[in-house]
Amino acid sequence: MEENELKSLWKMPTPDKKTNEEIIYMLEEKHHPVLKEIRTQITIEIVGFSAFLLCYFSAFDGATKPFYINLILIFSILASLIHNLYGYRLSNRPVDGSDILNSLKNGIRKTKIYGFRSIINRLIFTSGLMLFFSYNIKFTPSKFYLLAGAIIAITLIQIILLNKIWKKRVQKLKEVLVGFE
Amino acid sequence: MVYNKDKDKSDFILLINQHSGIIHKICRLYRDRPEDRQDLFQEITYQLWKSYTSFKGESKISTWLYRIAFNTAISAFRKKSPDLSYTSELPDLADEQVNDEQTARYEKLFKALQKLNDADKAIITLYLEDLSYQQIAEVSGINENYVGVKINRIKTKIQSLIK
Repeated sequence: MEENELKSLWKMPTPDKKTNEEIIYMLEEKHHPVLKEIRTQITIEIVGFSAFLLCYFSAFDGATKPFYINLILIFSILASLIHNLYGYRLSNRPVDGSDILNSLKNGIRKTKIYGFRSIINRLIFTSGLMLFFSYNIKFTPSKFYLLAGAIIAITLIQIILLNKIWKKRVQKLKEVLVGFE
Repeated sequence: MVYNKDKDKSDFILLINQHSGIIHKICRLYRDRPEDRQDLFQEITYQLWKSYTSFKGESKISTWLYRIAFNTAISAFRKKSPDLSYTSELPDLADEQVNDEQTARYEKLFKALQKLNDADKAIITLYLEDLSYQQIAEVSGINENYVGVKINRIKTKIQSLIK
């Protein structure tokens, strides 16, 4: 295929004309296809965790546990919510740089940091919940080791899976970056 | 000076209408399924609108548009979708002035372009859109001298993919 033909074929008209109403619809954040899904997920989490925080004190014996244990639980839940809200903000801004290469480099850096924070956050969240629910419970040594082993194994699996997901996302962006070099 | 949001919006709609063809082509290059292309079109339009008010006219409006559109297509988070591959066999062209042979060649070209990596797709699109090497360097961030080398390599790749 000759160069002129490449260009003339490329310039052939496409049918997908949008109406003004369709374009106006697309400008609203609430209609954004990906953000809408993330927002729904965050709303469910906020409602669920708020309900838990409102009733845990009486329903799960928060009153009988030391103040710092309650504080750790609240902190671990709030940290998780704040982290997810930051993730929403991050997904809302895929363009961050004066050109494509710069934007990609910034994207890789931010995705790496966000991935690392996600893992730390999961550790804080799991530890906070475990500490709260296991406090005041007297275990026999065998049950203690069994439970501790199970918790460590589940947490490790979660961290490995999370790490894999974020590594894959970063790797994908890095591959595009290499393509420009 | 009074900021007029309605005027901004109507100017922006006009801009999208003028450039919907290229946005549509970028969506087709970077997404396989028609619904994903539709989502990407919306995402690009949304990102363009977000940066439209801060666009100061330091660069040409077309280079600004390409930069946002490609960045969005490459970096945006994608909706989870089932691993079904669907390729539309219907021509993706306007009906007017197009014959069957042209449509077939257009489809052949597009299939070859879709097989390129994300970086090559961006560079060759800018080239096919008649941007100068300097403008391609400005949008992509790669060295102006290297743009020519890249384009030659991509053209060779396309020729071998079309054969």
